[in-house]
Amino acid sequence: MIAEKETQMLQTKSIDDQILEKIENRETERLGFHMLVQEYQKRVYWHIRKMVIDHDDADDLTQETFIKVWKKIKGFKNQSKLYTWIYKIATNTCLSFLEKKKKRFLLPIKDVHKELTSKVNALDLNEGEEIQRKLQRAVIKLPNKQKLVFNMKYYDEMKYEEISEILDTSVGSLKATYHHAVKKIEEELKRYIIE
Amino acid sequence: MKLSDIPKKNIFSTSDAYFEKLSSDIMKKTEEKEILTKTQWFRQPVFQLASTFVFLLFVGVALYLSQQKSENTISEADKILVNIEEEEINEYLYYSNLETNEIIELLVENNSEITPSEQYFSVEEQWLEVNTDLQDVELYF
Repeated sequence: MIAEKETQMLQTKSIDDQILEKIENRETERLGFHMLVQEYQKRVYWHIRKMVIDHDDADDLTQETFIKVWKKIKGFKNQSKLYTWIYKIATNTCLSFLEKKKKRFLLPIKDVHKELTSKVNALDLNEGEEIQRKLQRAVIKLPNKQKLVFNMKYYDEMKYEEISEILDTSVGSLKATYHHAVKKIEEELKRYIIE
Repeated sequence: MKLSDIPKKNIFSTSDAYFEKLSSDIMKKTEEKEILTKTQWFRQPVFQLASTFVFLLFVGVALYLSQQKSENTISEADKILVNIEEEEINEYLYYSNLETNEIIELLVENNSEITPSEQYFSVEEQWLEVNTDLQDVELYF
C-alpha cells in the first residue's frame, strides 16, 4: 500500500516536471498548461465545491483559480510541489469569495451557514446516504479554517505537511484544528441522531 | 457516533461531460486574457498608473527647473548690483526722479547747449508736447 502510494507520488512528480518543462518553453507553454488543467481540474473543483457547495459557484471559482495559475505560473519556483501551490491559490480564491459573500449581503455568519445548509438539503440523495447529508451539514457549521483542514485531511487524504504548506500553519496547530473539527462534527451527528 | 462509523463518500455530483467543458472553458479564457494582455497592454491599470506617475514626474521636473532658472536670474542680478559702485547707484537714484524742468535747470547750470530737439532728450516730440510746457522751456533760452 505504501509502495503503491510512493510510486503514485513519483509519477505525480514526473508529470509535474513534464508540465513545467513544457510551460517554460514558449512554443509548448499552451500544451503544458493544458496538461496542468487536465491533471488538476478535478481535484481543484472538488476542493472548492466542498467549501462553497453550489456547483455554479464552484465552476466560476475553479476557472478563476486556473486563470490565476496561468498568470502566475512563470513565477512558480520549485520550492513547493505544483499541486500544493495550485491548492493554495484555490483555497485563497475560495476564502475571499466566502468573505465577499458575507460582506456583500451583510449576512451574519449563521445566515451563510443557513444558505449552504439549504443547498445541502436540496441535494437528491438515496435513503442510505442521509447520514452523508448530516455529515455535510455538520461540516458546514465549522469555521472556514477548520472546514478547510477537515476537508483536506478527511476527504483529500493529504499529509499535514502538505496542508501546512497550503495554509501556512504549523503541523502541530493543524493536528489540533483537525481534532477539534472531528469532535465538533461527532457532537453534531449525535445531536441529529437524538433529534 | 464516531466519524469512522460513516463510510467516506462524496455526495456532490456533476455531469460526466462537465470536466471536458471546464478544461476547454479555462483554455479559452486564458487565451483571451493573453490576447487582451498583448493587444491592450496600454489599458492595463499598471500602465495607466505608470504613465500618470511619469506625467507627474515630468510636471514636477519642469516646475523645479523653472524655479531654479528664476533663482539663477535673481542671483545674476544680485551679482551685477554687487559690482556697481555705491556712488554710481546714488547718482542714478538722484537723477532718476528728476522732472523735465529739473533736467533743463541742471543743463542750464552746466552751460550746455540746449535745443528742444530729440537729440538731447531722446524722447518723442509728441511726448514732450503733452508732458512739458514749451513756453516754460523757451524762457530758459
